[in-house]
Amino acid sequence: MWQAFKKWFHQMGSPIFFFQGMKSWEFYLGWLSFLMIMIALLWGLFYAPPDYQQGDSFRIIYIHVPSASLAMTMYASMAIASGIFLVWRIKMADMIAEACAPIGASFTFLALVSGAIWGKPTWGTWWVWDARLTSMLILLFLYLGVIVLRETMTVGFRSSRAAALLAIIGLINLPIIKYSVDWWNTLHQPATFKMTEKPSMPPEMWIPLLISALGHYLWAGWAVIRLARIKIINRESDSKWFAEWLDNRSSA
Amino acid sequence: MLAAYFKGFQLIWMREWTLARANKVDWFNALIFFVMCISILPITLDVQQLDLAHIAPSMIWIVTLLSFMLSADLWFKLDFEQGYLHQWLISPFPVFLLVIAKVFAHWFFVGGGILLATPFVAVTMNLSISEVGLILATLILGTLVMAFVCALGAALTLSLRQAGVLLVIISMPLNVPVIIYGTGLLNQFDQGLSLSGGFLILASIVCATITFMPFAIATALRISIE
Amino acid sequence: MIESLTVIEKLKMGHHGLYVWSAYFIYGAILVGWSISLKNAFRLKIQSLKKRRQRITAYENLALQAGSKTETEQD
Repeated sequence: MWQAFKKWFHQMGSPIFFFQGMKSWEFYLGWLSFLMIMIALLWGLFYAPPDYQQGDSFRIIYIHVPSASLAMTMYASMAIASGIFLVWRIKMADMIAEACAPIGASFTFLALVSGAIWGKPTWGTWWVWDARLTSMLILLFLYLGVIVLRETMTVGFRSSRAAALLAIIGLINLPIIKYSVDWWNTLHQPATFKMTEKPSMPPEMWIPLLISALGHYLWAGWAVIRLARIKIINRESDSKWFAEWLDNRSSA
Repeated sequence: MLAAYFKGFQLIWMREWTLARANKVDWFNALIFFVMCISILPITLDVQQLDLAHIAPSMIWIVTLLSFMLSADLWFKLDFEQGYLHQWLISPFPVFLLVIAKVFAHWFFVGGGILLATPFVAVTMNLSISEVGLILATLILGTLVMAFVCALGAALTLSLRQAGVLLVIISMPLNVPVIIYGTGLLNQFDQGLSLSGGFLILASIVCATITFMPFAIATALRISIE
Repeated sequence: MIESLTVIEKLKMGHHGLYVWSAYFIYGAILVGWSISLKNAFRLKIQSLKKRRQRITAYENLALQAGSKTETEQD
């Protein structure tokens, strides 16, 4: 079992195997995530009871929490893939890192926007310089730095490696940024606005949240694989195996 | 072996020091930028209503960061264009020593100019002597971190003809912790809180930066040149 | 009539409906936008490459035919 997994994992380092082997994964991940997100959102929007403190505005949680969680997970994945790329020079890891960046940045943006919209009815303001919000904003800046660096540099292999290094340094910096923002926040704001303590949720509230989070993770997996496969086509469109794959595809 | 490294480091240090001193435009421009930026900010504010002393420390900090980011663009450029860096990367001598010498030399001139100008700028903003002293103390530590982080940005963007804005975008988020602790200390001072904890954190950030950043910058240089 | 009213009341979500729906709208725009553009980008890429490939094989066949023709003429 372990040996089989190891072999599979090593094979996925090659663009050919990734491109062909991930086709079925993509299919299942895509449909499963679509189903789960649909179930979770419908459940959360229409069947979950309103919160006794926040009323119906709490329903934003079903998109806010998965986005915020994915924002950080995607950054970590991007940095790990970048580390693998820098150490072992596996091209596939670079493509995964490249695919993670825009999707993670979108989720970070989404977490900020949905948080702001949620903040208006609960806190009475769109934006608070709260520790969590601020560190999320800086996470978005880190994402943008990595994306912009990669886009600006024209020499392919150099832009990949520079972006990889920046992603890793950003990951090391993230906890420091988090601590500093926490420290600054406790210094500045003696509890003008506090994240309302989460009441222990009844199951009909948190089960859809769990499904939503899982569904979004699967969706992110789908999106990263899809984007990585598009990048494989971009880079390998002149190679022999791709031409053969294309011929087989058109005859079938 | 160690003696050879030490001797080598001494030689590089002499070179970088001489070059940084001779390259007056580099640090003099940063200084002029600093003074101009700081003086233009009060013009945009309603100084009769606003307590200028309240926002002056953060203004000084941010403009210092900006001047470092703007001057860092040139730190490696000349050596890169003239092939000195290429030779360096081929040689068996460790690159991080070169990085340390270079960054410290530039830090001394750019940061030194800003530190010298700060008291004069602070006088125009109604800051007290003790506050000026605290700003200088935090800036000495803070500029060290800024210098290394901006040098990383400069090394990553070295192969580009115009790094400019990209360098700012890259190094701004990485500079967040040092800015927060530096300006936070001044706020703590205003509130009459103890400063030792904040200073220790700031100092530990400086230590960590000086320990690890040279290796990251060396890697970035390799990436830009290979 | 009553039925439809309750549906609208439910969609209004007290006085928070506007916030909830605008959040979900932005969310939907981003996620659906990504999904559709990813799906299409892949398909369009494959299509254009397939066309290019067909053109190349057509030219190759033409060249082969021309080649065999000249050979027969020489014979």
